[in-house]
Amino acid sequence: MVYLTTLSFVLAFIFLIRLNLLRRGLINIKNQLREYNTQPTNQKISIGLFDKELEEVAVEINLLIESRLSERIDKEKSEHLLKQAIANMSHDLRTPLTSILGYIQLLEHDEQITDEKRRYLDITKKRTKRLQSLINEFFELSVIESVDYQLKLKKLNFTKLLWEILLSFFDQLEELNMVPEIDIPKEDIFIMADESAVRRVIENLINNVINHAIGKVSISLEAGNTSAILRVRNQASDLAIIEPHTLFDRFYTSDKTRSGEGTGLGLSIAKSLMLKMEGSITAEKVDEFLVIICEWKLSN
Amino acid sequence: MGNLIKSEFYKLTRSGVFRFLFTVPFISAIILSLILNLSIKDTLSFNLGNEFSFISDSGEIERSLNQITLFKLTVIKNLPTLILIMCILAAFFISNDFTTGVIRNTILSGTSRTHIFYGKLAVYILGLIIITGIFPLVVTVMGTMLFDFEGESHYSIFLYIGRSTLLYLLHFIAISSIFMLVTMILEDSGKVISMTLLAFLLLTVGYKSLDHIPLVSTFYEYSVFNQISFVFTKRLTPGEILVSIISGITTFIIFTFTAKVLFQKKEIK
Amino acid sequence: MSKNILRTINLYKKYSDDYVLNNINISIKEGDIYGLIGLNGAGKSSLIRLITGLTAPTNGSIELFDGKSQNLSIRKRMGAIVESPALIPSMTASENLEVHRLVKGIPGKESIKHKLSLVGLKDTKRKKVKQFSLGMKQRLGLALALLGDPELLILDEPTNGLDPVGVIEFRELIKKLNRERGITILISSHMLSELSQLANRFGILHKGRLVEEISIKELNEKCKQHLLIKVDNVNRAATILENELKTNEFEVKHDGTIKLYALLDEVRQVSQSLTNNGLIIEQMTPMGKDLESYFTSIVGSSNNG
Repeated sequence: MVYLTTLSFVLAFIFLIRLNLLRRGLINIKNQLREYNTQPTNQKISIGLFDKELEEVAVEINLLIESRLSERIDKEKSEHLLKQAIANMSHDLRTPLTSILGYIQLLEHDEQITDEKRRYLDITKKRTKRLQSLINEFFELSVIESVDYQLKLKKLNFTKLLWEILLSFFDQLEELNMVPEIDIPKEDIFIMADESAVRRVIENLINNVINHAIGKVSISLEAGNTSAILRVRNQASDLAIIEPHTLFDRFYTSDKTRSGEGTGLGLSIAKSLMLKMEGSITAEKVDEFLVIICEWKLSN
Repeated sequence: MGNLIKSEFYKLTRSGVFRFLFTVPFISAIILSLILNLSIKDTLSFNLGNEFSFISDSGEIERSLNQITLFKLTVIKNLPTLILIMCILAAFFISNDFTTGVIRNTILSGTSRTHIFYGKLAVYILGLIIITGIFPLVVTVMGTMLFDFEGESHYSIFLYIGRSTLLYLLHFIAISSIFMLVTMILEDSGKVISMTLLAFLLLTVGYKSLDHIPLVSTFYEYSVFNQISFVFTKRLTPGEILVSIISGITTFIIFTFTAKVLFQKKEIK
Repeated sequence: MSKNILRTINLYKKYSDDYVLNNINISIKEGDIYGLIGLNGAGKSSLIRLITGLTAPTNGSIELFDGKSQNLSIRKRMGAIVESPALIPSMTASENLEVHRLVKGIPGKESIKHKLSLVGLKDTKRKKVKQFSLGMKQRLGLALALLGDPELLILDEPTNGLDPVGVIEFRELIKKLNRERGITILISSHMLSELSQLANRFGILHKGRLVEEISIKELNEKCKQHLLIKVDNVNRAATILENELKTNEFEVKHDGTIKLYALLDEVRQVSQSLTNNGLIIEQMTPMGKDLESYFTSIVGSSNNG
């Protein structure tokens, strides 16, 4: 009887320890899965190897992690290849295009050419130039989107910079009778950004206005709690068919015949640059207006 | 930590030295108990007959053979043998991990050095216990099966076996910790073996020439080297037991701690 | 997207009185194969030992995996071969892997088979590691480092002592790991040319200093021999190159300069043709040199400086 009691006590003790170990094993797995779900890691889980079943569970979890990893890599690979192809393409197209322009110039110097042919030549030249600017923007976008492209964010006086850019467009806007309503606060607003990138974003926004807007245009700036917010508001002829969230897609043009002046890349470039500056750019339709909103982090 | 011990044990059981150190006492224990058995039953021509006797370490003559005497006689109390076994296992089980770079690899996979150290120490001691325990264990078990001892299961005998085994283990572990420190200092297996044997020789010679100095002899008396065989004395006073326990534990703590600190500071090549 | 996997910040390491590493700032991004180049004794191994936590820096710090966490367990996400692979010679390949599987607590013995077949050692069965050739040992070392699927793999002179075929095989394997499993790799070598076909970024160490950090693209630009031409009318220049000099081996760059890869020995003829057609040559410079002389030029110049 004494032996039996001792034995059962010993057994109970052993099982208790085992139970506790299993519980700790589960907590360990839980913590690792939580880390996997909240942090950018591909780390598989590791465990204390003492129970066959617990080990099997971990094996299955790891298979799941593995398949998610390979999906992610496939996706990144195809994205990378696409970007690479675009970069290479614009690279490869530029050289022959340069010599085409060279030959056009040679032909232009020809005195004996008829007026009609000269008109054709003009058209060819214009179209080639447009092709060239398209390729350049394409190239620019692929550079901006590449991983290696890093912006150096510095403290900038945004108010001053915005005035400067708007002034440089003033003549052009006046000519088109599109002088915007401007609402910029008097005090200086400082943001963390890259100056040339900010310039490029605003230029693209204004070019977009020039190409597509009709009627009243307004530009406003305000300082929020943590960010500076720039709003560009305008009416557009084809507002009804514009879908704001697709506006920043590559080659988005509301005009399906693609006969307009824009390349369709300006807003994509603006968006990429904003992301690289850790800012954001969004579009929405408010009443009859299209509003594009840019936000930069304020600098302290 | 559990994983580390598992891994160390895996390495231990697959190392050639350990297998050799395990097999030799195992087989010789079987052979010894068979020979003893056959001799006693006059099957073999060794006529041990009634004259068969063992002289125990206390000088008493044990006339009869039983589990206790068998166990007591076969436990390795002989210091040189013990030290030889310990330094060979230390050299091959611990040093090799330094030279092959296995320790380096374990560190750089993010395991804490403290864990590595304790895992290694635990399995080293476990290995030593297996190696040294196998001989007395097999002889006693075989003896019980083959000899038909008369049931001498007195309470006091069990107490004696329990007490001396536990104290023996304590000092055994304390001596192992000394080897852990030696290996942490010397790293290389050749150095570990040669230096310990040299040190042992020098200390023995040194002790022989200095044992008339009371301080030295008292020190030796209470050191784990003496205590490890002293604990088998038939009767021990509670005071002696306490001193023995303190001696073992202090030695273990001092050497383990020093070795651990050393390992943590170490530049791993 | 482009998060830092490894970053060292003002890293110094001093042995007795000598700085073996002097203010090292490198950064390795996710998906990089980073080549650490330097002559023997330049500080490559010291740097790797610091990164892997085998020794502590005298000054400065190391951020791993975007610096989110500084505790020891983050090293579980790295695998490394430092100096020679750490193998137990009396064991077979899979026994060696089992030891490390147990240490790391990796569930499932399938991972061992998987890693062995990945490095091409699955047919070694009961063969002990001491009977392995150097190449096989290197591959087993790689399998050990890959156990637990690290996100960062660190290889210290992994092709040392391999025959040319072995080097190529090893290189292909590394590329495959990077491509198919997205593993970021730090690899060191004393030869730039050896890594030029493998790495996408390079850090060049010399006498404990980081003398240059350069991408493969920049390196190729620098090392591809060409004539850099800048003229007032690039369109005309292109037609002249095609018609008069009969070459297509040129590129027009984004900034309007031309890189001419042919006629490198006939600079005079090129300039004559261009000027004869009324073009004004603003610049015409031969550029580029081969990898090794590029390397020597960097290491040499900092030698004198």
